[in-house]
Amino acid sequence: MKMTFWGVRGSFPVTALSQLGYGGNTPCMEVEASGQTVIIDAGTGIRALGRAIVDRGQQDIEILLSHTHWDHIQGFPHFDPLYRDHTRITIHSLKHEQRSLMEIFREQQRSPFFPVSLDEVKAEVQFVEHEDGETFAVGDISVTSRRLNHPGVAGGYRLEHGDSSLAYICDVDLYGPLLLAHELPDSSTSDQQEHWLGQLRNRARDLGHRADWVICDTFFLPDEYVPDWGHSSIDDGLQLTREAEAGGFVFFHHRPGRDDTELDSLQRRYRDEAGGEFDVLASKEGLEISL
Amino acid sequence: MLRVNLWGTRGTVSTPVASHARYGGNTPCIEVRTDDDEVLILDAGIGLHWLGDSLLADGFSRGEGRAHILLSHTHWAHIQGIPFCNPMLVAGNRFAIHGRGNGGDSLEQLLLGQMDSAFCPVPNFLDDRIGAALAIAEIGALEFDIGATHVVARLVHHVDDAVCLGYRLENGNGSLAYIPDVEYLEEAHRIPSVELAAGVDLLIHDAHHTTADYPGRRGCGHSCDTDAIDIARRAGARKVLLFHHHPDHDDDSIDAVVSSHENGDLPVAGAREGEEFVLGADA
Repeated sequence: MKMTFWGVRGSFPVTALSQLGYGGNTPCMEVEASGQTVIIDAGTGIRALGRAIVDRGQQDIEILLSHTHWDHIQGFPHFDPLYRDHTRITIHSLKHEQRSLMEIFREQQRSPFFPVSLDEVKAEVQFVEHEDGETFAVGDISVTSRRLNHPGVAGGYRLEHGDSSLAYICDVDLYGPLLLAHELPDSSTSDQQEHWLGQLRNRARDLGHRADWVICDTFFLPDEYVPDWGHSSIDDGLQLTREAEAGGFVFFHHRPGRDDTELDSLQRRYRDEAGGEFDVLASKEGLEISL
Repeated sequence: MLRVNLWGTRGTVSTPVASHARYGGNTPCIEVRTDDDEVLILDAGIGLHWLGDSLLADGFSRGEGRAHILLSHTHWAHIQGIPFCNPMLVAGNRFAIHGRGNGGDSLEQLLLGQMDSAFCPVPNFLDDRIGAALAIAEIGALEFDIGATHVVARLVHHVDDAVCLGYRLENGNGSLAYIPDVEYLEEAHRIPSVELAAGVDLLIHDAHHTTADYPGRRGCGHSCDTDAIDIARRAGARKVLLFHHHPDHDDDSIDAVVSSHENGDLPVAGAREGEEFVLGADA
C-alpha cells in the first residue's frame, strides 16, 4: 500500500505562509494498493485530489468517512469527480441512527448553503453505513471500522493489504475522562459510561494493533488539552502507538495556528521520546509513504 | 470615518497554497471600525476566526465586546467562520448577526443548521445559555443605523435560489460599498449595485471571474473585473477593489488582471488580506 496526504489540518483550513510547509487543508488522505484507491475523509484536501483523479481518468471512487464534522466533509462539494459523467462515488461511514449519512450530505449541498444540490451533480453518489466492527472489502483492501470517543458518530479505520496495514484514528479523545461519543446503546449510567470509555479505548488499540503506521489525531499538546473537545494530545498518540505495538506514529489533524517551526521541533522531540522503538512523523501535505 | 481591514478576500473555498498567499486564502470577512467605536463585520468566512482572535486583544476577552455582523448571504464561504469565532464563546460579549433568511428558512434556522451537532463540534453558542449573547436580526427595512453609521442594504442577483444582499456603509465623510457575490444577467441587475456604490470612497466588488473566462461561466452567479469597474464608473466610486478571488487564481494572475486596468482614471486594485483602508479621515 501507498498512502498520500492531501490535507492534514484540523478544525478549519489555514492559509498563513508560516503553516503551509505542513499544509493548511483539512483532512484527506489517499491509500492505493494494486490499482485500488481509497480516500479517507473529505476535508478541503479532497479538492486537489479530485483533480488528480479526473486527470487519471478514474471513475470509481471509494471514500471512507471518519465522521461528518465540517472539517471532514467540507471539501466534498468541491470534489471535481462529482461533476463528471460516468462517475460512481461510494461514501462509507459508521451507522448513524438519528440522521442518515445521505441526509447529512444532502444538507451540506442544499440551497441556500451551496448552489449545486446532490440531485444536480453528474456523478452517481451512494452511501453505505457500516456496523461497528464490520470488515468489508474495497477492491483488494480489507477495511475495518470501529467507533471512537469523539462527539457524534465518529469512527476510525484499519486498512490491510497483503502484509501491510495502517490505522486511521481520527478524530478521537484517546484517554480522556469523558464519554463524548453519541448514539451508543446502554450508556446512560456512569458505570455504563465508564465501561464504554474502556471499550472505545480498546477499539482504538485494536485498530492500531501491530499496524505499520498509526495516523492519529494529535490536535493538542499535553498542556493545551481540553476534556470535552474530543481530541488527543501527541503524548496520547505516542502511548497508543506503544500499546498497539505499531511500527510508526503519524501526527495528524494539526491544530490551526501550529506553524511549521513548531511542528518540526515537535517531530524531533517525539522521535527522541520514542527512542527508536518506532518511527515518528508529522504528516505533511504531499507526503507519500509506501508500506 | 471608517477604518476597513480585510481578513478574508477569497471566494468559494480557502486556498492554502503559497502562490495565493499575497492576496490571501481565507474566505470573505471584512472588519469596519467607526469613529463611534462600533465594530462592524461584513461576512463571516474563515477570516472571521482570525479577526475574532484579534478582537480578544480588546474588551472581547473580558466579555465587554460588542459587534455587528452583516451577512451578504448564507453560502458556506460567507458563514463558515462563525463556529470558530472565539469571542462568541466568551460570556458577556454581544453580537448581532444581520441578514436575510431564504425561502422557508429564517436566518436563525439557517445559522442553527450550521451549528447542528452532526456537523459542528463546537458548542452551539447561538443558545443564549452558552457564551456570548447572539441576536439574529432578520433585515426588514433595507436602511437602518448602527450607532452613527448609516447602513443601506439592497437585494442583488446572485444565483436564483439564494437571497443575496449588498451593503453600503456611511459614517461621517467615509463611505464603503460591499457587493461580494453578484451577477448581472440583465441590465436591471446593475441598478441596486449602482445605487449602493453611488459616490463611495471604496467599492469592494465580486470579480470571481476574469473577463476572458466569464462567457463560459455565465449563470454561475458571479461577475468579472470589467463588471466591477463598470459599476464603479457608473456610480462614481473613487476606488474599486476586486474581491472574492476565484480559488484557482494565483497572485500573479490577479496582478495581471489588475495591471490591465492601470491606465484608466479609476484606481483599481485586488483586495489583499491584511490590507487596511481609512475612509473619510480627511474631513
